Amino acid sequence: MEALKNFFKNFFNYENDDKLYHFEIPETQEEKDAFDNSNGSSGNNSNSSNLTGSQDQQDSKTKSEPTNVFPSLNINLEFMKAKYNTSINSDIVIREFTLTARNKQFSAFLMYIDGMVDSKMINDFVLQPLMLKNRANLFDGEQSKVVSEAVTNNITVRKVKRFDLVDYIFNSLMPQNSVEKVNKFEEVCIGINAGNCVLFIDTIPTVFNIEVKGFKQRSVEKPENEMVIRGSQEGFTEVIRTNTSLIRKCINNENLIIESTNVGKLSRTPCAICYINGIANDALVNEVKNRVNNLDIDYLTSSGQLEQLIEDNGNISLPQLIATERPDKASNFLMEGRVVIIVNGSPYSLVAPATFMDFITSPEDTNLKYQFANMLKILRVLAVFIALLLPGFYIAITSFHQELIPTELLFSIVASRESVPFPILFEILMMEISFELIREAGLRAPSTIGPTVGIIGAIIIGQAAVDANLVSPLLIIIIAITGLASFAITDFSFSFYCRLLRFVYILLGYFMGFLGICIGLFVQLLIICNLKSFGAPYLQPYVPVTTNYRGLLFSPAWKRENRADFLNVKRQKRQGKISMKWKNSNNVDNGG
Amino acid sequence: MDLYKVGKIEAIALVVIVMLNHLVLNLPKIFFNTAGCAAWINAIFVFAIALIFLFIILKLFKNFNGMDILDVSYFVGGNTLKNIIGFLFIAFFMLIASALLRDFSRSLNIIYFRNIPIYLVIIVFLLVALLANRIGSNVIIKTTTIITTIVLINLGVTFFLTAPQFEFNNIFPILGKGAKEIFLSGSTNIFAFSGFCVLYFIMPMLKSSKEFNKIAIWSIVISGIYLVFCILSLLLSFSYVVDAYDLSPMYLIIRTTQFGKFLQRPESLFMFFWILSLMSYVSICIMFSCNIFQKITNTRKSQVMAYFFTSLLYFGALIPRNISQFKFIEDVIYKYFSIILIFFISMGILILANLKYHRKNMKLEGRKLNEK
Amino acid sequence: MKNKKYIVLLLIITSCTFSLTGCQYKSPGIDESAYVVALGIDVGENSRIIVSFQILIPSSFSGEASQSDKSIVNSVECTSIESGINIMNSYISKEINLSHCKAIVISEKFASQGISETIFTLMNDVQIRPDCNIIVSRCTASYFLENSKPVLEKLTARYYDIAPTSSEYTGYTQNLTLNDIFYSLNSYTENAIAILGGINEDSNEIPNNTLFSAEQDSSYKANETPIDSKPNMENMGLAVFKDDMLVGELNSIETLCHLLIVNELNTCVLSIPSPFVEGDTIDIKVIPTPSSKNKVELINGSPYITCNISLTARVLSLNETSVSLTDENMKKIEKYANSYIEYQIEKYLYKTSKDLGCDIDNFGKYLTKHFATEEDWKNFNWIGNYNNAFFNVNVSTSIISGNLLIKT
Repeated sequence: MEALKNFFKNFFNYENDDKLYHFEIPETQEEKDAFDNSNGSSGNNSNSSNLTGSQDQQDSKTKSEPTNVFPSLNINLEFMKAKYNTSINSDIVIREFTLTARNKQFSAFLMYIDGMVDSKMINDFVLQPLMLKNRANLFDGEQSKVVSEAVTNNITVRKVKRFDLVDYIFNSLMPQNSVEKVNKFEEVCIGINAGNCVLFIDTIPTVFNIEVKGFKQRSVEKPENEMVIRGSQEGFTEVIRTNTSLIRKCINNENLIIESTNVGKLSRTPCAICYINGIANDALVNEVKNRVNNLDIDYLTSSGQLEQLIEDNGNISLPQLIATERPDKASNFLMEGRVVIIVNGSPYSLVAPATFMDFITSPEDTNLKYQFANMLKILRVLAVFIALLLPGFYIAITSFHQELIPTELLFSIVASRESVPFPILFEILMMEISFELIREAGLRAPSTIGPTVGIIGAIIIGQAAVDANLVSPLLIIIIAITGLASFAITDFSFSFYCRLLRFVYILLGYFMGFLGICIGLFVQLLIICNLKSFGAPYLQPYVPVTTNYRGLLFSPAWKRENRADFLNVKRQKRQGKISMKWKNSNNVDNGG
Repeated sequence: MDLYKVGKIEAIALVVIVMLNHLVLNLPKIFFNTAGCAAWINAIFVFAIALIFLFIILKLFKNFNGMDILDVSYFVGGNTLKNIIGFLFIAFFMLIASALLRDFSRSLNIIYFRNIPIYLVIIVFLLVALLANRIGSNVIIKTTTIITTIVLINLGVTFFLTAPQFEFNNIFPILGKGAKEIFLSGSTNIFAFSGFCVLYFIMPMLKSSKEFNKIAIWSIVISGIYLVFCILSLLLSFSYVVDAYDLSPMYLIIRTTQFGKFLQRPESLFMFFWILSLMSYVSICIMFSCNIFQKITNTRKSQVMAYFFTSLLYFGALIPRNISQFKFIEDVIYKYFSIILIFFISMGILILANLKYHRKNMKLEGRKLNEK
Repeated sequence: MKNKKYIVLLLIITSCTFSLTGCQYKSPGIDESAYVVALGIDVGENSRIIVSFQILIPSSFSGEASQSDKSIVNSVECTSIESGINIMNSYISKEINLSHCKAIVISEKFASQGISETIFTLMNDVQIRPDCNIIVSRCTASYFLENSKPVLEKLTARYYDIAPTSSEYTGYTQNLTLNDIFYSLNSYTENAIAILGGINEDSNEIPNNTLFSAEQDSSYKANETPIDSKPNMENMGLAVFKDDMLVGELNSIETLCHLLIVNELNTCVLSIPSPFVEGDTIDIKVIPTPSSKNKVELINGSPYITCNISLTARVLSLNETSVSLTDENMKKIEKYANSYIEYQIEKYLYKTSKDLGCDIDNFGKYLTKHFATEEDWKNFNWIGNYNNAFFNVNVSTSIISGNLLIKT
């Protein structure tokens, strides 16, 4: 009751949008300053990666856990054993051994997680140099190394370098490229969890964090879900470093910045925020960093999760970030001035901001001549409308506007419905739902029986249902075309959006005919016009109209002179006024 | 409102859509009633008057950059005048919206839903308009831009498709119902350009008020061209008097046009786009009413008034009991109210404001001279 | 976000308003409608009119149903079309829907009593398309509907659609629609015409051969042609209305002349007397050129009408004596063709102006430019003045070639 009251109270009380979060990509410096001032606190948080860190510190302090590594090995060992529950945890390996340095023995232990490290590397390049006695290692440990000797007035002045065990091990006994000296337990744990091995040595309060990562990982393969014919055939993998390197491979420019950060208080999932310095708008980059860094969540496993956490409006089912598994697509977006977010463990990277036009663009388009690309684009727009509206239109026309159908078609519809016992609404809902069922079943079924599901579905829907007079054959065609159209939409989440809203349009069409569909379209238009993805208007460049026109249709490759206007990039031109310089023979070096 | 500033094309769309809705529904009918088969001459004549009027207004607004008609009336007559003008304009917006809403719903009732009572159809439109106002005025303006474009294309397609059945002898006898009708009583048809009312209020919303001149000229020219073309295409397609019909003449012209054998009756499809345009039109009317109300009462959040204006529209649209009452409202009350308000009162205020402005300037200069 | 809530609420409200109250408001869907393809109107014996509905039975053409009976014709005697629909609705199970009506058949008898009320009622109906054909049948409308069965088409509706388009290549009738007849009934410049139809029966006797042979094949009206077939619909000629009453009928050659004058003929075949053999005919295929012009002037208060018609033609039939299409021969044929067509057109024009007193060629529109206002034009009373019209017809035919002439 209270909820209902509140609901109506809310409905009639107007709250201004002041409280809502607003972000717009500023065009000029003044605008940016004004924006920063007005947004106050949220604007300043942009470099708050240490904010989460300090919070963690607070947490650890309250538990009165030791932060720094103890000098005593035994205490360290006990502490680490307790921390990692080694008695239960089967894959935590602790290797105790004696270390020889300068002819002196130290007890030490290595700690790592089995399966995450490359054991050959540990054997050959960690344990071997530490345990074996080589010649250089045979000096007395207490001997100080004489750096220089000078005799004046029979007094020998020796410049002696004091022996430092930590430096000695670090400099001489670690044939490893990536070794880090840490002295906090927290950092130690991060190292172990990330697949490094740590070396504790008696008497010194420093731990060596040695990178010996050796996961079993997927190699770079073809992208599964974004196929192209004439384009690169590489796809992102689950490992963040591989993914960043794939992007680096596409963009050979030192201005490509890959900032890393960790998301999730417990999982500490590594994420990378990539942008090109000098092209991407600073405010946009800061905004992305701000959003990614200010997430109070325990764990993050995939980019899909992150997408939902950082998008502008979580209640609207439209995708507001582009998810792509193609490095070339991501690089294209980077060069255009957008920001790419990569999450470790997910082969999909996120691109911000996203607009409507991006979801009907396929990575194939840039590889094609602009005429073909435009044909495909128009086809896709058509597909969006069909996937969204066709069943709704069918039901609206058959229940309200029969005069619109050509007579011959009308009579074939009537004839096909002669012996169908259900009303049209029920018929169409039944078919839509069974179509979605087949789709879902075919997707989730084990790959061995996946094709069987398709065949069963085809038989049930295509043949048996018609023969049993459950549905009319014409409706099957409608559903089939709708399904086909929804497959033709390149973006996965966008086609989801169409699939979902299709049901709304079916109901609207059934109740109010064209008027209902108009209501639906108008409301949808209102919502889409209202939507912004990271400050970029969703329907750019049509709403609001921008003069720098880069809209639905591609211009020829030599005419794409400007970067998209809505990004307010630092470098507006992306190619010369005359990009094909060879045509102008005077300006061309003939190469001798 | 403060956040979003209207760009050039958006502003033009706002003005044009006010005209387009009337054009689709009843404007041509009124032109034919006054001038017969010389309606096109009347339309061009009215267009010319509107242009002259426009230039006068632009001249008069020159000294009041960034101000709308309310600010100007405050400058002239203080709060009292501002309130009077504000309420007159609210009444005007309510009147045109409710009349149009009723007319359209009636047509819709006849064409689409023969069995659904008219108040349900009206409710649907108003609910959508209310929702639009709750989401925000900037969204209405953005949506209007898209819809205006669609409707402009739609009407363009109509001209194109009806072109094959044009019969150019239909424009004869050239003077129609007579010169007096065309140029004297026909001049009241200037109310067709009621889009001026948006121009009066759009100034403070613009990104740069320098563009006001361009916006005004473009929007009036587009409206005028569409008016003339609509009337010409109707005239050349039918020679008989259009007011034999109660329905929208643009609907009828599409109804009688043949689009080949397959799509034999596309008029429902055209109607589809007009529904969209009416929805944005009603939303705009409520939006402007709210804005004016906010300005005259100095409230911070006037959007809650959208509920009030919506219900007002609802009852306003249901007041006329039958077609003759409703025709009276549309043809007489609306016509003369808009002429008096838009073309006389507003103009008068602008002239007075200019006089006052100049007098002030003179005084200032006089003082300066005296000081020297 | 809040908006989501509003949208959901709105959707609920709107759906509720329609679904809760909407059961009784719901318009009949596609399953509950009976689609009428043709409407017949006759004079009733006891009541004012008899309305006949030709309703398609949809199941008959899905699958392997028999070809014979695809539509039913039901007639009802009533006072008006609307009440006829009401009575019929109570008889048949589905609701009658006129939105796919392709033809409206009016019997000759009914037409001669005045059709304007019927036409206005039909035009006012939302469902009826303005582009459905108006046919004046020489038999009763119900008989016409019962016997018009498609032979080459599967669907009666398509049959009605296609049948009048034959005028495009025969010129023996005109594709006239409800909109056209409504237009001309309201017009001050022309009189209304409609398609003349009939049911062709075996028993047609070839009318007495009093005319010379060139005219014979093209002087039939509907249901007079000597076609040997089962009874079926036949559209030939035009029905002419004055005000809203049927006053006369045009046969096929007159229709052809009408089409030539209003320049709506695509092409047709014409038999002209042969210049080479007395009593023989030559067939030519006539294609009008767009440069045909009509001119109307007022001389001493009576209209003087000039029709300049220019045609191109191909010779279709020749006998072996005249095979060579020399310049001289072609000129001869042209001359004969010109005089023949001129003769026919003048005959037709004087028939319309003197006998019928109807301007069905819309000559009036050429005269409107001489008047300043509509008032003046109405006062002039064009239709009344048309009786005194003089005609001057100039036909210029240019023979281009034969078709595939092989000289032996």
